[in-house]
Amino acid sequence: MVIKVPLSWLQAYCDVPWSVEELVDRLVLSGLEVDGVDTVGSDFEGFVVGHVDRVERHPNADRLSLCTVDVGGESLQVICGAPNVAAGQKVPVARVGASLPGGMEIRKAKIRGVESFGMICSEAELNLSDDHEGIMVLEAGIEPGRPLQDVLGGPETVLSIDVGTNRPDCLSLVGVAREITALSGGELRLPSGVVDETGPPVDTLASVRVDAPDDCPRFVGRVITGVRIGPSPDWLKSRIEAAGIRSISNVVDVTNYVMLEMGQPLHAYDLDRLAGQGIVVRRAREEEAFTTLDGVERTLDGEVLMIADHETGIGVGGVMGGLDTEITPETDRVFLEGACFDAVRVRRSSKALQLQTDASRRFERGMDPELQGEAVVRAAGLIAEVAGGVVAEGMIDVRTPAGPDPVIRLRVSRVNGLLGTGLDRDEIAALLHRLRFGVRPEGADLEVVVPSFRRDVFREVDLIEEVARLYGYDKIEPAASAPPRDDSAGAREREEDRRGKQDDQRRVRDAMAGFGFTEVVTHSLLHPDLNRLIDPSRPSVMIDNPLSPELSAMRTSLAASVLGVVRWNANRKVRDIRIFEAGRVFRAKEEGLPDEPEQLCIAVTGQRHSPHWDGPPEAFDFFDLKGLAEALLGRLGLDRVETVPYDKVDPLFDADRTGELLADGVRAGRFGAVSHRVLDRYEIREPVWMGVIDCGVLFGQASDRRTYRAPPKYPAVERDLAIVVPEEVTHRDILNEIRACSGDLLESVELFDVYRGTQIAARSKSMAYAMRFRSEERTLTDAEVTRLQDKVLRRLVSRYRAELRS
Amino acid sequence: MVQEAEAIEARALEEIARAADPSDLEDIRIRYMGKNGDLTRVLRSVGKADPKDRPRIGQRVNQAKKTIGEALEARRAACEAGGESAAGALDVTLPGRPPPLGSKHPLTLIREEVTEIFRDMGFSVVDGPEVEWDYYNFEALNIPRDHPARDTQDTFYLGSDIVLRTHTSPVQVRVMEQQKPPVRVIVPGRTYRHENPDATHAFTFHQCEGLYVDKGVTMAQLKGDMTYFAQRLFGGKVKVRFLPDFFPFTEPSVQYDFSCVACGGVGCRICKYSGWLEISGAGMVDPAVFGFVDYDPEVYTGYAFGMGLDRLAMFKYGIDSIHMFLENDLRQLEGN
Ligand SMILES: [Zn+2]
Repeated sequence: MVIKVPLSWLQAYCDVPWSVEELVDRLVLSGLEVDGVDTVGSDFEGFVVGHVDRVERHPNADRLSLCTVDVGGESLQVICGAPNVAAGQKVPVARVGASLPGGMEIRKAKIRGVESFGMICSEAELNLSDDHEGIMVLEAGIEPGRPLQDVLGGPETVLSIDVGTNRPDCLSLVGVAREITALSGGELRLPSGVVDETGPPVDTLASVRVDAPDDCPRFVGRVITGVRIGPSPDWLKSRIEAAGIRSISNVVDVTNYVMLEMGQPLHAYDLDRLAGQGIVVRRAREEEAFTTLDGVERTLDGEVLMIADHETGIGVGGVMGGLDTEITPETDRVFLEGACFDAVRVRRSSKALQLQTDASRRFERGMDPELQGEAVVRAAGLIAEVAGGVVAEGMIDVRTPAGPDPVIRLRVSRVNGLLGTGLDRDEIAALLHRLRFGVRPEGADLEVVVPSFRRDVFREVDLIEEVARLYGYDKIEPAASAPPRDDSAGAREREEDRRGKQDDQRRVRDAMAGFGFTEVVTHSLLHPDLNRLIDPSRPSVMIDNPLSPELSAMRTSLAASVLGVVRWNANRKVRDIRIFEAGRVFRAKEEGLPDEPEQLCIAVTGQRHSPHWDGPPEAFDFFDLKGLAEALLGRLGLDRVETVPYDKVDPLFDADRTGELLADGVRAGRFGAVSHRVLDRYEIREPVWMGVIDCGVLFGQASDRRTYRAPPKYPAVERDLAIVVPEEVTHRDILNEIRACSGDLLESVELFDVYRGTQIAARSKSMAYAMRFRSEERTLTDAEVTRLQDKVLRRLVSRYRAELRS
Repeated sequence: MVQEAEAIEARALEEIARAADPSDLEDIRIRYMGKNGDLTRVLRSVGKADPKDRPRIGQRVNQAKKTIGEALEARRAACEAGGESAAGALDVTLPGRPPPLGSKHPLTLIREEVTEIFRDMGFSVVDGPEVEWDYYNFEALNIPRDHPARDTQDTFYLGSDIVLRTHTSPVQVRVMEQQKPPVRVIVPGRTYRHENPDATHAFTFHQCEGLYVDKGVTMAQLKGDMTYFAQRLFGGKVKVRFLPDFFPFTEPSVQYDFSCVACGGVGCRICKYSGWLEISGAGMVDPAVFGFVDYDPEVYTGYAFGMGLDRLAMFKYGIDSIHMFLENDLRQLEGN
């Protein structure tokens, strides 16, 4: 939560012995994040207070007024465009020669034929706020002609401090001042804690009953009678506005002022509008209706903490008050509430109403249970000062008894053991003392009393953090950690296990990049329709609160987003796309977390090679992809990689041009031409070749144990075999027969030609194989090899009606 | 006749070397090996030689024929490969045929670099699910349901108790549940925040978590190890700064910065003229977290840190937009 800290206001509570720059550095190093430093206002050189004597219509312009302004014994004619200008107002006037904080210089001007000698300014023009609505109206009592700086002060430096959720004590000017005094060792000046109580006893005027003490451990009330509601004096207005809160009326401004000053949210009620002159703190009833101050009617439930009078709800505890009891211009008697609400209850109320306020943010972070009395005294005193009236005697204070301040034992050895420092007991004690902890020595160690405003500190380790940040992390000397020393067999085994998979992940990427492919990384979230398009049978893992329907499902395949990358680049005229992604996909399960298997997706469009002057382009085709897929699996050390016809219905692929990869008989993936249906959906015009490989199979089997074999000792015998077979016989069928017949002596077999045409029968093809035979024990004879070759041929003839091609 | 064959061979080889194009080569072939070619003539006359010399002479003449034939073939291949001008010299300035340039994604590159460094420091690499139990993502990291810190972790929900992990920290808990100290692991992985993307925000991030638990682990070691890491990744002059911060799962907690790798710390656009780059958060493992995994905080201490791989990659590779990573513009990625 960001708070704005006007420096001159801050200095009411502590001295700042540093330049602004140094102050910011010190705050940052001790743990207050300063988001920004701004200047509000200016030195207002040449600006004075003016009294508007007369306002007439400009003779030549409906929207402009011709004002006669008394600037102290001198009368100026000033033209003003603001609708709210009126005779009798005190206003800021920039005289001829003055410069606005924005840089514009004021000159004598003729506007639509009438002369103007200066300018009546809005708050925005004075750099005081963003308010452009109309001119700024000053307090009525100020003498015309006074320099504006006397009234508004000089330029103000405002720090924006982002206070973390753990430091609610710094959500106020006093809190920030307390930090500064811890750093500087200076004195903290707290606001006045006394008030003149001249009215009747408070309990004759109002009552408080807390029915939900767990939700509201403390509720303090005071009454001020005979107030006059009106605008705030300029000092009050300018302070809260510099801190980012809009001025409303004197009484409401005081409650906000004290919240900014001390951190305690307060609420002012019109006592005469409280039924039964009393407050009841209770849970809301189911479906209880309530209209908050912002004018919204809300339906509550039992999770919400209600502030009620004796008839109905009048506020949501710790979040926002209601319209019916708010302060109005007619209010005479004010009931002032200062409460400590339970952080979790306020958070739930605020969530239930979807409403966060300055008050709710403070309560959610935890409130100092001792602050309410002081804050209400302070506010009552200020109300009496700025709105008149009489403060009733005493205060209503309903609370669950507070325990003693917690005491924590702090071991010096633990401080140094955790931080790696060499601080002694007294150094540590001095640091904590400056942070306003109570400290007493206890043997070699310390006993530390935690003040009520630091309830975030309740363990020894929390104190160690306080010591560290005030001592300064920059003073902690870096040390290297000990070398790894877990040499147990279990640790080694575990590491081998983890390594195996990681090395495979790396090998896949290295291999693909080596094959000339560019790795892409896409989002895991997409529109569920894309999952359905590619994998209709698989349910998507859905997000309950997606950013948009396009990002509402977890991907079930990488194909959808990889095709998105193809389209995105094709639209930008990138030709010859060769990409891959390796990443997780998400598979819903009946129960528990989804599975997150890893997948590899390859996509190719365009040419086999980049275009070159010395040859025609050649389109990438199925066999390029097949060669690639098999080479990849081979590179990963998988055995017996083969491609078989893909027999599943798969809308991603064109059924006629898709193969399934088997590694040692296990399905490892599929590849082929992306179907027209899918391409149309993506509006991709070029054919796309795609491979989708299940990394689980790869990682399960891959190995990089390379073994080098001794070169052969005996010569090989090479034989060619050209046969004509019917179309339906596949290469794989023939290969299987050749392998089965020749046994160990077959070293390799390669298909080197496929022929269809006039020289052979229709619906058949000629396949030519080069076979190489070798024995590891002896030189093979011609006769021996011929026998093998004949055997192969006989088998092919009988099985597949093959004929030897002459 | 042997000398004659040798002389023919030498002459033919010389002419072949000088030949400018395939038609020259064809002329040479006819001149030496055609029906009436020089070598053909010698071959025919072998029959007239003394029978006891015939095998020797025959062998030599056949060898010459083979040599010339191979030289012709090689030269023809060279000419047909193109690129040779009529004068016989290669135009070496013609464009070459580049192999396709593959590349790994910058997020992969940075992950591999970071992993490598931490492995050298004795860290082991682990991973965990991206769709995670609320328990691991929040509860066991000391962030109960109503903790205000949940506001800063805008979360995607998949049912009431399952989330897209908002950080890689849940894996800390998973590892400690399965392993007794010493534990020294890093967790690179993808994380998600329910945040509408703009110039500086994305809803998908890539983080790397680190955890070291043993007897006697200190904040000073955290600082030393982060300094070693920073200097390995960005060079020996990089400094590390700790600022107090708050995380529910570490105490004390710090934000750690590296001195700006672009300007060396004097101030530039990249470090917003501060001289420092905010990297991420770190701290000493909160005893409450140890409580969830049954480690005794009196016996063991530990440090934990996070880091944004996206940010590190931006600094390391001079990438200026976080959206570059998942945009996949091949004009930018290819060949890198
Ligand atoms: Zn810089």
